[in-house]
Amino acid sequence: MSFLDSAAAGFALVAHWESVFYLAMGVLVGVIAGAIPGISATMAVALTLPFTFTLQPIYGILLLLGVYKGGIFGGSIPAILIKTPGTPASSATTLDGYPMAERGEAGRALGMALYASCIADLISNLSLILLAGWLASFALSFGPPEFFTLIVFSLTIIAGVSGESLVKGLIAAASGLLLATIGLDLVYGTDRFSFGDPNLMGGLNFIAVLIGLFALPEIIDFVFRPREEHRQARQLGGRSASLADLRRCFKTIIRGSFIGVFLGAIPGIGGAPAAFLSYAEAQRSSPNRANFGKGEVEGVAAAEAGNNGVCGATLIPLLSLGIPGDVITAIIIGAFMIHGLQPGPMLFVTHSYMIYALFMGLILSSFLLFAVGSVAIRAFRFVADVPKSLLAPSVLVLCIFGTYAVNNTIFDVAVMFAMGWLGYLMRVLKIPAAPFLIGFILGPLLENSFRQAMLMSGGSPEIFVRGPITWAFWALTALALYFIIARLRQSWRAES
Amino acid sequence: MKTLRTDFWIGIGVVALGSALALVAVPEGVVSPRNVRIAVLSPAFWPNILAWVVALMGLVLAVQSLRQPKAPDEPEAAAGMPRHGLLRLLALAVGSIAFCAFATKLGLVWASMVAFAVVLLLTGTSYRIAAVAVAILLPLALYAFFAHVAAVPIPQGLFVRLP
Repeated sequence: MSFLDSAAAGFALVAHWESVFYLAMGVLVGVIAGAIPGISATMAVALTLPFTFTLQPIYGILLLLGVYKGGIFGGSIPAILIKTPGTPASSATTLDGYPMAERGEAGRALGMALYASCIADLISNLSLILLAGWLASFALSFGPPEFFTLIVFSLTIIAGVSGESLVKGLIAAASGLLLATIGLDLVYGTDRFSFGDPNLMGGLNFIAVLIGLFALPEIIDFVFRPREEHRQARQLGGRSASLADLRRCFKTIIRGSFIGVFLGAIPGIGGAPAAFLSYAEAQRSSPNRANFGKGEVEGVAAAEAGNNGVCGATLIPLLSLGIPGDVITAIIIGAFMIHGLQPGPMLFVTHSYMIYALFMGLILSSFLLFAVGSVAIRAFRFVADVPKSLLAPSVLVLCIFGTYAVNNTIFDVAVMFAMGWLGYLMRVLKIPAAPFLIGFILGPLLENSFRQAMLMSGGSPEIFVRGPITWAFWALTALALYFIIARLRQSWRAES
Repeated sequence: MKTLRTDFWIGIGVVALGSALALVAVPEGVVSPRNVRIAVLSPAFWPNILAWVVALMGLVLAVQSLRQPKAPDEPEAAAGMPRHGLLRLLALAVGSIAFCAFATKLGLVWASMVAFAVVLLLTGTSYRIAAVAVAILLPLALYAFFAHVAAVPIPQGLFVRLP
């Protein structure tokens, strides 16, 4: 298929009212979920996933991408109105958003957040389109040893999602990798921890593990410590973001967008650091730097441009190499697999029309985000104050139905509950859940590429240094480890 | 409880878990054919390595916690255990086991309504009318979507069947 054929096939796939409908629906669901403190964008994507099973792959994936993008923007609504970030990525938005809301300028702050989010999202999507194909064509020459070294490198993202303790992150990741070994062995077809139970022979269901780890611990924690928090949402005020505001912040938005793109393309960094870096850069270079933290509209623009600039860019490693850029894209990898698609360079060969359809859908999503966001600013400020006593059992029921629908078996619901309790235990012990999930997803890829490479070489480990690509990935892994160790030493020194 | 002690005991627990996996669970739970010529291709190789990595990381955590200065009391711990918190957790655990045991007999919709009610009873709410409405309507709406739109055979149970 030539480029034009693929693009035309992609356009034909996406140019249906259903594509626009599911994308808009996803953005809407994401904005609502992001606006509710306690439902993160990750949880929203996880809970939406079961609703995509019966959809055509393109509609299902567009729905999830809409939730992702809407969720990241939606997080700014409570961040500005009630000083509670809806998602971790919106933390930097509270710094100037809430002081503006206190001054009666919530509408202006939300308007600027929307402008910055949509522009950054568009730039991020364009970067994805420009870079993903190039990276994928390079990755087409990869064999099992190259993939093994690539996955070893991508496991360094665990350092980025480990929170306070890297060692605990490594414990979680190794446990996730171990959990992924349950099921029949792919080479010999023998039992591994399935003890003859047919439910376990195919391995643990990804959705059950994911929903259990990310949605249930919130509910269990609420049952342990019920607390109804009421925070009065601020009024929007008469003033909204003007074109003059946008012109003044435009440079900051563009810079923040590229910071988001750059950090988003590196696996494991995510939205929050991008938002804070963009904010810090804006503060450093702004003539109004003294107003930052006191309600400066440029601060809101910088934070939102940074965190939304990440969204499209995290899909670069996902689509081109088949590795997740963060936890949400790890979930989206699962969605691809459920629909019979394996993200990675081969997807550009076997389903190039799907890639082009996704690209077109993503560009459309930036405009839909603007349309939905404009309404959301006015209509959803009350969503931020949904009582948690109603939210927790509702999420539980959604989890039950969503998990059951995967394989129509109550066994998966039991796995979900077990993972929920495990996730809660990890939360209590301050062991991060994200490395566990990343280990669980990357585990089979890591093991399979390792064993395939060893089969090819007859057991000789030299195959893992067979060419410049493997060397490059080992070098990148060493570089990543160097930075991780340097950061650890810095924090130890600071502690002592 | 001090963070130092917590991390030390977590480390020890992880060492015990990793060792148990490597010494008991892998030999018992992984079937390796006798004709495996290359050791690294054995079905047990990867689980074994990972189990030992878990144990090693547990050891690192324990040693690291001994080297760190004593941390002050955690704010959450200092705030104290919520009244009847553990009892509520126990009730939720029993409830989740009961759910898995009886959901197909009772029907997923009715069991979900019961699950909703149990969580509400455990946590309490000041929005009683809204809670009753959501408890009834949400499972029904999800049933309508999954059964009639997504064609998922939702278990109806032995007692009350839905259209």
